[in-house]
Amino acid sequence: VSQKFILVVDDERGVADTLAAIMQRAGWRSRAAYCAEDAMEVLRTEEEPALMISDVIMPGINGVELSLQVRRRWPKVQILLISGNATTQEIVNKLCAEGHSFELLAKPVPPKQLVMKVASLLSDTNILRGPSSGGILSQIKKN
Amino acid sequence: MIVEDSEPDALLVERQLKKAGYAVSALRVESAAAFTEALASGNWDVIIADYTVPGFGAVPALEHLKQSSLDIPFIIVSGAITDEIAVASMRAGAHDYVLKDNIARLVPAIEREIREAATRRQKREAEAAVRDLAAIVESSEDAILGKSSSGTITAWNKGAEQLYGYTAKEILGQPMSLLMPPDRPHEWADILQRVSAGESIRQYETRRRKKDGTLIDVAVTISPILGLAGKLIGLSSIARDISKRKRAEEALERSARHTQRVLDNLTAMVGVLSVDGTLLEANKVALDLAAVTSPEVIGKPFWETPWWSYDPGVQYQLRAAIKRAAKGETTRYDVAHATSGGKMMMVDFSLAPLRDHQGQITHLIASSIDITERKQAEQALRSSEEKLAAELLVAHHLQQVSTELIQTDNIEALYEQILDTAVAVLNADFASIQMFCAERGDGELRLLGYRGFTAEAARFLEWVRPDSHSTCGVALRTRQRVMVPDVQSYEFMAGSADLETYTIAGIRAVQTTPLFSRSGDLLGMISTHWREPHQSTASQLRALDVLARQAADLIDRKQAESALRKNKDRLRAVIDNLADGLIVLDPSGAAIDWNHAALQLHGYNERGDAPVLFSAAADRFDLYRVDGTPVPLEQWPLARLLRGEEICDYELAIRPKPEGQERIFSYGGTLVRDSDGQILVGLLTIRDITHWKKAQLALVRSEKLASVGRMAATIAHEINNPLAAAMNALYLVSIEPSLDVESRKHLELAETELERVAHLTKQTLGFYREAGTPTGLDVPEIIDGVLDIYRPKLTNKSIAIHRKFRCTARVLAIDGELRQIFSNLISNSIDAVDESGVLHLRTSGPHAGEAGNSMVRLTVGDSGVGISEKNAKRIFEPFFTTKDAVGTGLGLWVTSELVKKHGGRIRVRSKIGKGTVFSIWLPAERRQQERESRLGDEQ
Repeated sequence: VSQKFILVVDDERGVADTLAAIMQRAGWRSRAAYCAEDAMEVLRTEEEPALMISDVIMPGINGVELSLQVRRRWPKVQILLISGNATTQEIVNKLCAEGHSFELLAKPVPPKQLVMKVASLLSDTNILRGPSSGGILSQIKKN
Repeated sequence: MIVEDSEPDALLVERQLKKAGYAVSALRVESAAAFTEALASGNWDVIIADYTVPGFGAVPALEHLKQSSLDIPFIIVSGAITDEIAVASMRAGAHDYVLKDNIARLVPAIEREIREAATRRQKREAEAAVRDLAAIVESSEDAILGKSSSGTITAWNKGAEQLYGYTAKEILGQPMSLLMPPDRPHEWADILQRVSAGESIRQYETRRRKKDGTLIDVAVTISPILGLAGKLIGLSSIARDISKRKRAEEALERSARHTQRVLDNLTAMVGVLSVDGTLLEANKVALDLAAVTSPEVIGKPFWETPWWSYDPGVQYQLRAAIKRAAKGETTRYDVAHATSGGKMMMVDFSLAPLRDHQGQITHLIASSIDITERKQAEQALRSSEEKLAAELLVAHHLQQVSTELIQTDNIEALYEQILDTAVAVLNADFASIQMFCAERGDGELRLLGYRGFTAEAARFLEWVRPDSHSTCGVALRTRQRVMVPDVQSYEFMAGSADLETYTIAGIRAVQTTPLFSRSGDLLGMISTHWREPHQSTASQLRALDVLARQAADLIDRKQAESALRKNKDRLRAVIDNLADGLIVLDPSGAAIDWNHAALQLHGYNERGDAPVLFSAAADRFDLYRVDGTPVPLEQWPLARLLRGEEICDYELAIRPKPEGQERIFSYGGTLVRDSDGQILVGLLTIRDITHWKKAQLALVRSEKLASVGRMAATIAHEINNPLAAAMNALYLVSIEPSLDVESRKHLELAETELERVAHLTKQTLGFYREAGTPTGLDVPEIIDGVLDIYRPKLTNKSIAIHRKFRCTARVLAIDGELRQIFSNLISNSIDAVDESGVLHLRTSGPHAGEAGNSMVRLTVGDSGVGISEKNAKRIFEPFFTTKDAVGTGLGLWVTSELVKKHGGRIRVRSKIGKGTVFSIWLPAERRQQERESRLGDEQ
């Protein structure tokens, strides 16, 4: 059974770590990186993820630039951007208009919504039904 | 006479005298009365008186004799006489005394005394003669003087004093040369020589010098004064002033010459006749007329002189006139004179008496005035009556034109009138009038009107250029009248298209007269044309000149009026199109004009609605400073302007009474004066600076907002990260299966509250600057999100929310902007309602839009205070607010701008006291729309 690998990038360690934890709990493999450079390093030296969840506003290379570089070198990697800043939306809209496709969620994303979003992106509906994630599904259904 | 009381003594005396051979006639008197009577009655040779006579005597007799002034020898005869008596008698005037006893001495005494008396009488008489002569000389008006042979003046009478101005005292002893004029130095020597030769000079006219230096004309008679030995010892001269006579003579001569000259220079023929009709004198004109000299005619009876035809009728008429004139009557009649050339001359003849100063008729005066020309003129006048009538007609035409020129405004009709007159005056067949258009080409002529031409021919004349071969073209170049009596023989036209045009139109003769303004600018042309060769007369051309002057004035005036009107219209248009308001005031301050902007700014539709008087304006508006302090009437812009103050950027707030919308105006004002400094009008300009002023205020506020927005974005980011981490962490705990039920509930609460925090930050801070492409949005979700933000307010005011979401489509909009739209509307509604008010939130649609697209209708209504109709029109304007304290005046403007940006529209319906409903139409999302409509079909 090959669990899909998810790379979480956020300069806020608390956010990156908790998100990575949530992804693992949901049934995926995950890894947290705290900046774009680290993320690139993981991609180059370790494993190509199925999905990269990235913050946008970060010191150094920002989330949008990172996404563009990743998209160029590892086109299969799906990308989900999360931003707490309104202007980010304008940038992403601009990129979308140029032919790129990014998903963008406004921070803070309720964890349950995020899990559902990731599951739908990875077409891992089984994640939601899997034994290890029964709790999640039940939580979602409750809502 | 013998004074004696004794007769015998008297006889004794008589006897003595008879004895001596005298015939004695004696009278004896013995009283004073008899003595006096005898003195008066007789011519006595001697008086012999007895010294003593009782009651009388020699001494009283002597007294009486002395009183009588008679010089009669008086001899006293006495018996005895003492020496004392003798002395007293001689002192009393007696000539001698004789004692009676020595009577023989009586006769010799008488004889001696009579001789003495005779001598005395002779001497007395001689003295009287000299005295009389001297008086005569002295009283003579002629100057009589004597001078010595050496020329020294020795005698000088009163007449000389008056004539020469010297008194006798001044002149006596002076040389005669004093009186001689300086231009006759040798006259005195000449006179002396002639007089010395024994000659008397009589009435010699010469000139003498007066004391004051003036010269007088005198006639002098000079005679020698010869001494006893016949030697010349002096000269006497009698001089008479003849200046007056000289002057009178000269005047007479001058007058005669003058009269002759006057007579000779008269154009009338004048003759002087004696009362019987004999010609005495004739003037030059008269003599020349008959080519005769005066000796040939003077002395002849007037009726036989060569001026008169020898027709008996004419002679009879003249003689009758002479008879009447001799009786004092003047006769005057027209008659013919014969002239030297044998022609007859018609004269106005008159014969009148001439009287002297006593009224006596002394002469007759005949005069004749040549009336040939007058007679001829009368004849000519009669013969030209027809011509005169024609000219009168022309004058009448011209006068009519000039009258109408002043009175009529119909310029076309006047052109017609001028053309008609031109035709009439010049007896022409065609006429045209053209206006000079300097701005076209090199300056061309435009046809204004024409007479006689066909419309087709007129088209040829529509425009004439300076290179044309027509008379108009020539006149255009030369600026002078052009007359072509026959176009066929006019070289300049030969072979030209213009000649062809004339020929086709049937024109043989043309004249063109240029029309000039009084300042000398070319205005146009007036032309007349004839079918036959034609030459106009000078008088016709003169009339044409008058007409041309009038036509020029007309065109000039009309052009000036038109320019003026155009100017006025333009000015009016400029004034009315000014963005600034302009009120024109007369010197009393009454508003005589408001431009459109001024009317609009004050809320008037028409000029008639606007107030004229200041007081009326004060009744209708409140004026106060921008900071809210009141402005007294004397500080109103109009009042300041009328005081002569220049007003510039005077910013005031104005609000129509009783409660209108406040505007902020910037006033300007100036007084327009004439050259004498009198105020013509006042101009008050008004600029609405409300927007600008409020923008200024809003700018300050929006700067704050913007900074708040920026901060909000930062804060949102700063909050979101820890929030996300916390939420994530809680989530991780909550999915721990080992968690007991109680803890799980607490975790869930924490999660819910954290999500609410996240939601709030997104709503309040998140949509600032948020933009993007429209996406399909779920309206109820958005509305609920907005309501969440205002939850505390809604709860506080106990406002009930009534939702009715019937829209089946999602709205195509930008999330943040749609939220802002609702946020603004809901916020306004919350402000508008009282406690326990109601908010209605509804959706409906999709409806078919105007452009064929589907629209979703979103409604936000409230049960609030409502908006007045007037304000409702303006609520979407930027910076319009009724909430001065808290409003920016931007909310609804932003809302409407956002709606428009989304391709939607917004409407408001409101009623004061009932509430307000905002309706928004926004495009529906197509895909969703289709899906939902399918669902709708299934239902």
